[in-house]
Amino acid sequence: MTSETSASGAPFANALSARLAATRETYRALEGFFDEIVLGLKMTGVGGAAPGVGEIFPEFALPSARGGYLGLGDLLAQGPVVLNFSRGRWCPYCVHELAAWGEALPALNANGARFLEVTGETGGEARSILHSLPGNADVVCDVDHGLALSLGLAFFAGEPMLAYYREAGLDMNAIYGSNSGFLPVPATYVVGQDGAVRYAFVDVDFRNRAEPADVLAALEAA
Amino acid sequence: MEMHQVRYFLAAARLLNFTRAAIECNVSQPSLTKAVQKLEEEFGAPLFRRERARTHLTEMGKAMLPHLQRSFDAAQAAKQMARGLGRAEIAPLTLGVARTVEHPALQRVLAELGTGLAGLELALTSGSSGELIELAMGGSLDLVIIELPEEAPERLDRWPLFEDIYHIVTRPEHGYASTPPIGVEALEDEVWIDFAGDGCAGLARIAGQAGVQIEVRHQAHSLAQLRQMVLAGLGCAWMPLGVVSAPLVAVPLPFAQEPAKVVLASVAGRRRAIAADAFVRAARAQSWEPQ
Repeated sequence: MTSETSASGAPFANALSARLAATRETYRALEGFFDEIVLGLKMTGVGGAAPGVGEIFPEFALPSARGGYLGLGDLLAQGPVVLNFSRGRWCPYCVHELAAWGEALPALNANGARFLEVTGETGGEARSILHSLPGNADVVCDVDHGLALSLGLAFFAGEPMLAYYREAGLDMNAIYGSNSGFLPVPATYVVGQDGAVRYAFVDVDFRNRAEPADVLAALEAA
Repeated sequence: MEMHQVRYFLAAARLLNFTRAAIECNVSQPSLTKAVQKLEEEFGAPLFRRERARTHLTEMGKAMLPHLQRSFDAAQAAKQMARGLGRAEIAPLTLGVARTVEHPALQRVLAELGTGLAGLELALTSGSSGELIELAMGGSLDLVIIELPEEAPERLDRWPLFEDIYHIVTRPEHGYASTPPIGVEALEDEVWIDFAGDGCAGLARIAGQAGVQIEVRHQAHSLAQLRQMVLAGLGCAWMPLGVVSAPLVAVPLPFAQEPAKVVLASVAGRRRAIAADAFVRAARAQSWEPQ
């Protein structure tokens, strides 16, 4: 998980896991609180039904940040797809993750792969994420976490977590255009051109993310 | 949560009967019960209260029903859009846009729908916000984009899009263009052009609160007419800033006022067809910030 170099030899000066660890350190006082919530989600089996390696990733099409609808099939026609679900840039872990993907984009594109970010955030956030990514990437808007739900990747955050976010000044209603309290499980997939999942990372513990170097290795092995 | 759990929940919530819900979902009742229990575990509270003869939604169940329905619909739409199902089917959409609303995001949303739903049949209507609400309540419009009136019907699902501030609108040669009015009293010296009932009512209210009566002499029925009449020097208009473009000049009132809240709305509790649903999602995905 902490490899500092991708299989193609492209250096990653700063592995994502190291940045996430630093963020955890910043929020150290909250570790116990989040641990308990994550444990609860794991016990309920959240994320357990999400597609695994070897399974066919279901086809979908969502509004694209570039306008119009973008389907997984449209991208697979051009190459394998790295599909990333994150919660949004209000979340410090997601900020690091998206930055790391931005840095990995050239290597990813060099492998013929396409990067597709899925965000549940409304109000044009898909567009600003797209503009923040330096390479060849696409962003789609999963309004009301519909795609996440169809993959078993949407969950009810629960009152303690929602209360924590409220107190931190985050308005979930403004972020997702709904006060459902639903959130997506952070997940990263490599989908091959045949539609089969080559690599899957799903973790209800939002403090853990797929390491781009591992994803690149999976792409190169495919 | 998983799709099948949500599907079973929605059926049970609609039928308020687990046996009938299981039949409708084509599963055994124990499977349906178990799936709903899993969902209740995740929500940390019961969604149903089952008494001997009757099944009710709990407060939690009632609160979560619209959210689960929306996410379920969004999941199905994501699948249908990929299958090109929208391409084959005729997808009618009746949309009302208030005369005082113009925004580039609306064009982007319509463009998105046009590419995603080749079967789209759009009927676009304009009118005052009040007229459009009435048409929606009467079932003639699927969706309306309106300025939310203070006393909007409860039965209106609404998604805030943007806010706009009304301004005095005049021509560049008018005195207001260089010297805005200092007090409300000055508005009495001006002739006003009403805009299809929507235009001057707000200004008349503001002036009235200060005991000032404005003279509304002319009537315009479209934005184009209103622009022409203002430029012809017939009087001043009262319009949201978003619809004012050069050579017209927008002059703010000399004191703060409540912004107009522009919302997308549809009648609550009515099932929206595929195109209306897709429009709502596309509109929410877009940024409606001033450009």
